[in-house]
Amino acid sequence: MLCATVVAVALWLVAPFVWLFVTSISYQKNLLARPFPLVPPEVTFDNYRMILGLVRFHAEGQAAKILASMWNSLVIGLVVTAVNLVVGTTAGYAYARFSFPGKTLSLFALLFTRMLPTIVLIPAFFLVFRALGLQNTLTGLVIAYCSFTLPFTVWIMKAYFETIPADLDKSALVDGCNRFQAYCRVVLPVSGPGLVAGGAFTFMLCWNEFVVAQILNTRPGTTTLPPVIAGMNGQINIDYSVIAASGFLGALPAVVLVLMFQKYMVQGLTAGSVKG
Amino acid sequence: MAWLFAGPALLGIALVVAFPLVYSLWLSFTDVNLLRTTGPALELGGLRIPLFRWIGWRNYVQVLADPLYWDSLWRTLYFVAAFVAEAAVVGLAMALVLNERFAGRPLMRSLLLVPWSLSRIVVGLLWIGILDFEFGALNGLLLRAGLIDGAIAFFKEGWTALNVLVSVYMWNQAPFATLLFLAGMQSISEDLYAAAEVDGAGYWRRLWYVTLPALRPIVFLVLVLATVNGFLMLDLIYVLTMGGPGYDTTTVSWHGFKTSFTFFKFGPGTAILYTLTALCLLLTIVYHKLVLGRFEPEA
Amino acid sequence: MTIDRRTFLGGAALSAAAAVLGEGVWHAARADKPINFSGWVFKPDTVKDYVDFYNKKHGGQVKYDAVPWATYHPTMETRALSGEIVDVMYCNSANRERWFDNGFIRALDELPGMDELKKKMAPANLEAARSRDGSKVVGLPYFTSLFILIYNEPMLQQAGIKAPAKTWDELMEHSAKLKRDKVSDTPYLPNWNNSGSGTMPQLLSDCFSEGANVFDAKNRVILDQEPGAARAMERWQKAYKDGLVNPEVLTKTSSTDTHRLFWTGRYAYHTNHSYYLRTIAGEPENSKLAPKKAKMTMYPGNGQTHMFTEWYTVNAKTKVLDDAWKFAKFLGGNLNGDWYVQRQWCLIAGLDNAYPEMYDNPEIIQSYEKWVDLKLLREQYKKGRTINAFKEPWFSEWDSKAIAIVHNIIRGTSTVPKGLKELAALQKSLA
Repeated sequence: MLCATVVAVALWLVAPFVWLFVTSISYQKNLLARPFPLVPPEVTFDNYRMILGLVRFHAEGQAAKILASMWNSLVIGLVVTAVNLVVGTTAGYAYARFSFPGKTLSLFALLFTRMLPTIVLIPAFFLVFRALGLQNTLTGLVIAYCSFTLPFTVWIMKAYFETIPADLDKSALVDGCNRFQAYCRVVLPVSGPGLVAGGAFTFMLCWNEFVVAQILNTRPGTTTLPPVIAGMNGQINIDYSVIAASGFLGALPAVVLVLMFQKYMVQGLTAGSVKG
Repeated sequence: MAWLFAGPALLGIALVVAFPLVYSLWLSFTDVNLLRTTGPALELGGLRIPLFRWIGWRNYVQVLADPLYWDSLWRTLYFVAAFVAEAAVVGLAMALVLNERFAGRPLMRSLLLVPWSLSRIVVGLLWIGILDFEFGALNGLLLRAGLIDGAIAFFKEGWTALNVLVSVYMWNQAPFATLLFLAGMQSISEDLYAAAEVDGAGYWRRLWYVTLPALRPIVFLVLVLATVNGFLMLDLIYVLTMGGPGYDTTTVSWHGFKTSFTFFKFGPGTAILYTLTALCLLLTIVYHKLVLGRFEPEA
Repeated sequence: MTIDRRTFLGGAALSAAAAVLGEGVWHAARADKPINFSGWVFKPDTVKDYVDFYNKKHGGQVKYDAVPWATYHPTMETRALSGEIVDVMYCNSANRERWFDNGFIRALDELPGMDELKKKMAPANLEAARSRDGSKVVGLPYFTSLFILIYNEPMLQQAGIKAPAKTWDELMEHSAKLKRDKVSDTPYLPNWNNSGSGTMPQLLSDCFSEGANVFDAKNRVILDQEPGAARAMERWQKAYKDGLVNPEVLTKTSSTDTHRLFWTGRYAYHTNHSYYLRTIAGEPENSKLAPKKAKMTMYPGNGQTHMFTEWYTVNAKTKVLDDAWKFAKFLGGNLNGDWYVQRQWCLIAGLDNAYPEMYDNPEIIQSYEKWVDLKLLREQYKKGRTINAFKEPWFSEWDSKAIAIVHNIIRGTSTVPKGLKELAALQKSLA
């Protein structure tokens, strides 16, 4: 009974994604065939070759954008993650350890930003970036992405640091360190799971983000990956199997991240959500 | 000292969140015309931020007078309610399964996060491969098994399309609820279960009398997060239905998005989005009051 | 697609010979400044090929970017508003006046060579190229087309139907019969897709064929006063209700996407832009109804359908006007001396064109044999009706928002009279 349920759940979670992969290595005409083939009669990696530019095909203009946009997504993800890890963790530490005027109010404000529809900020970003000349730049997107990642990182790290006993810091302070040294030398080293969770999660948010990138970066060459994949979906002369290949490639980094760091992410993300 | 630590982040957030928030709010009270480069503006050290002309509540009146707004609001409420219910139930169910001990549990835990890790664009794409009328796997398999005579068009009709959207989004988000539930379940003391067993309680009674009450705070958390996520959802609509057929899958956020960026009416567009923001603020207050800030909000 | 390249290269050889006499080859030495060129997705490989040809032969440095059709105009507007300059852009009729009024695109009259081109354009197209007040030409023609009725001959024969429908009633009867006999689940495929090239132009065509006017002399919407429009809408409602139409058509995002359904051979009747018959009947590698198993027949009713032109436009803010205009003339004029681009489009995709001179070429005339009865097509063109309302400032928004109203009529969510009134009211509210 349990075995069956477990298998069912596993299928539910993974089968659609596996199917994406299967379609990406199939020929479109086989997907359209009736009766529907349970096992793809022909397997091909041509779709991937087309996307990676190794094989010429009729929509290579669009496919060429995929690698370029992956690079943009990577750069943006890494920069935003770095900013978050440096600035967000220190703030999280402050909230976890200190009490200061405006703490409760700013915490509430942080909570509110977590619940904001980011889309409401975009008209403002559009106009301000236009004035600053930041439209269609990676810098602009980095700034925009910090808007929804920073509050989150602060909150996670605050919760995570709260699970680290304050005695650890205190003993370092007693030894003559100042706060910052205590933070760097004693607290951070044991915060691995939290940092990994925060970092991986931030990177994932950036890698997967669609709406903001779609609006702010329209010039070819400045786009990130999700708009390009969505754009491929909109191009009717591209077979679904090719689109599936691009989707699979786009999903791979996030899936790998999650599989690799699952333990840390779970620990970091749910830390403090349960007391005791 | 605290300010040294928290300062940079707070400053950053003030710049990239608070400022655009206020500016967007301002825009919703003006007649924004993206083509006009003259007019009142805010000059900040060489930077010219256009201010446009104040017109008071006119944008809001225009937006609220449009029946499409109210249609999309009811639709959004339905969508959110359905999504929250499905995500909570399925999330809890998966958590219950994963809480049991069985071989390969760590692997299952990893697999759990796979749907959640995908960009919603990929999620939409992936489900198109399953649900499409011509080449979708579901139609193909059902036809082959003789269970249906003709392929089912999942996105043809508003009601079906909306429900499909809910289920697809749930597939993407339920794992996160499962994570939270699991964390909660693991903190329930074994003694409580032992005591219940001594009293002769079977699986379902234990679930009802021990597990669920202990999970109540997590349940609240999941409900509120799911509600907020439901209100904000945009990218799935973009890749699956574009708000159609007709306006049948147009939610308030989609309506605001289209008004702002397809017809470039930033005034009414930001007004629509601000009504959404007001709803979210309300939710935040509700959440804060109910759960007293003890628990983690997550995405 | 290999076939296309061969045809293409063949064409290139021809034109190279012709161009020795033209201006092309003398300009090859001087390299132009880089220009950006964007169009919606329609055979982007063909476009890329002729862009490469232009760059090599005419010393251009054109960078081409294809944007999905469904979001083409909003995307281009976003790019314009964010300060990006795309020097030459496609633009459809519905959005052109808006772009001109808002200063995105420029008038072309004073540019060198425009006067000659004006003389070579068919008068109807020249009229359509003008701005609302008639004083300026704001686009060069990309292609012209009109709605036609295509039928699946083998399927009709299989069901014992000897001739394609001549009236709308016959079409409905045939479809009902095909469905009853289980020859096809959804035999009727109208172009009800969700984009600007689908539902509304289809509505115009069907209304015209019922003798209804959609706009009055002042370009106001009068659908609610025309019995022909009500007839057409009632028929649409009935077709949907009786299950004669595949409901997923309503969610397709382009006419290209829609016509691909007909390739499967599972539909009996299809109404769409004329050039799609080229793929359906002329490309066996793509369509089950090729070669020439799908045929054209005169549009039912009085035979009139909606005829339209799409445009190349030049950015008003371009910094390289000379080179942009040169490229625009290559695309929409006769820079190469042999109507190169227009011929390629006709040969490869069946796109018709605003320059009658081009059709003097025997290769062109012969190419039609592959997919359509040219005489019949010309007959249909005589019954093509254009509209003028697209030059109104409210038109693009009306055209876009009307789709949902019409879809509600089709699906029966709204009654026909109510829906038609809504269409008229929508225009009034935007005017």
